[in-house]
Amino acid sequence: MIDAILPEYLVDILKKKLKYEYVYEIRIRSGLPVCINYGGKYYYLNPEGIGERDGGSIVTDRKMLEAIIYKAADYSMYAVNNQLKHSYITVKGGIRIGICGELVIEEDNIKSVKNFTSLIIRIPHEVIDCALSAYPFIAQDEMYNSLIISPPGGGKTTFLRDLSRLISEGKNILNTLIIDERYEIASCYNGLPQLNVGEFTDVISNCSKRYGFEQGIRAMKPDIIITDELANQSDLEAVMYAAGCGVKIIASVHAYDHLDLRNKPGFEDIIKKRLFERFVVLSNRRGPGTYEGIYDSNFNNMYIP
Amino acid sequence: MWIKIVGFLLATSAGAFLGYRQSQRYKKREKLLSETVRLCDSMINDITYFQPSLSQMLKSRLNTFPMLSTVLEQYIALIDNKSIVDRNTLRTHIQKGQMNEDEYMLLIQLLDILGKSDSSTQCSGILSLKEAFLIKQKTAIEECKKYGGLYFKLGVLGGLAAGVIIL
Repeated sequence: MIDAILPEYLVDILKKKLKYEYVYEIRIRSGLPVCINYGGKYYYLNPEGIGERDGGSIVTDRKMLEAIIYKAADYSMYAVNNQLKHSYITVKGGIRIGICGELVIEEDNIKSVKNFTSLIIRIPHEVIDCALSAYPFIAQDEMYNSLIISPPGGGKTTFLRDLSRLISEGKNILNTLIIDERYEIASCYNGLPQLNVGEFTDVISNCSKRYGFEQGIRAMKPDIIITDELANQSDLEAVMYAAGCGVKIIASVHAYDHLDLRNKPGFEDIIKKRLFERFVVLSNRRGPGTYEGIYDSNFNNMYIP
Repeated sequence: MWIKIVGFLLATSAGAFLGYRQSQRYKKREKLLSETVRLCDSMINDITYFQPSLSQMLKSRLNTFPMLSTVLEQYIALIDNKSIVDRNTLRTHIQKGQMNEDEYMLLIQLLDILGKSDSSTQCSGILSLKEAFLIKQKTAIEECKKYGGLYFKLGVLGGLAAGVIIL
């Protein structure tokens, strides 16, 4: 939890001077004021709560930054080094810490990160039933391969997590496998999901999509695979492999909307092949998770708010 | 006369006890260093193959290394309280026990590097300190052989001498 990683005085401000449930992000940069995303807007953190740039903001140094990272890693950097190489650490309670620093490279491989310069602490917020409106179109009576589309911060991961929970609670028992490459969906800590992803859900964390799809299908025989952020050709190939195995896929991707998707390398082919049968477009126009439309494979909007 | 005999016996046993205590110090030091070397090995093994959290790893070793258990408990308490663990903190909170200053500094160095780097750097750091502890252990074994028995004998002899004087 946040108490275990941040210095006491920062926790006091966040919990006593502010409403903690509105704290989405804490950005800490060495030698610069601490910023927080509070209810969707960025503010400077000061001893009285939040304020403007010149309002006596709290400034941190590198030593504090390192202390936060060591605490977040349970003083076991070796145990989180694989995550650290991908610039993040997941801690108890599903909190994710994105880390910037200097990469240590040996023989073209990233070995570790040193001289930390800044970090972003992202506090997950489960939004129960945020996927409920889309559920009947995606999974209620029949399962459809679905792609969740939104720009960063649009609520894709929260949506996927809730959808996984809804599928588990559905009338048919379906086994879901979450391939959680960056611990974002289930936020496993010591192997246990920290967020509610449903009872019939298995999670493989910290693996590539290719490995997750191939080995996950063989090992767990899932009905549905849920994964986050399809980004490159290898991810798309893994998805096509799974679809060819008869497993339903629910994935997300960064794009403005379904039309913007065509501009992403590799996706035009996937759209032509009609691999995905539903496209859920989210935005943060009225806050993260705003539904912009649910489209079928012909891009007809099925969703009327 | 009885008082003198009792005095003789008391002086002899006190001398023997002091000598025994001194010789035990050498034995304990040797044991402590040998446990430290074994702890290094077991940590390298755990970090290479299982990568548990530092606290979990050390807690699971408390019974295996009884001579080090106090040191380990003190260290676990530090990290569990999420304190900033640097050399100064370690020197304040970790007992020196039977170790001499050099050995104690090595132990502080070992505890100071724990958990602060990736597994390969961590293992090579532990390995190099283990080598240093091995040298100290050899010295401790030699000193234990040389002085351990000697101090006991000296204690008994000293006690006897004092007893004779009393008689």
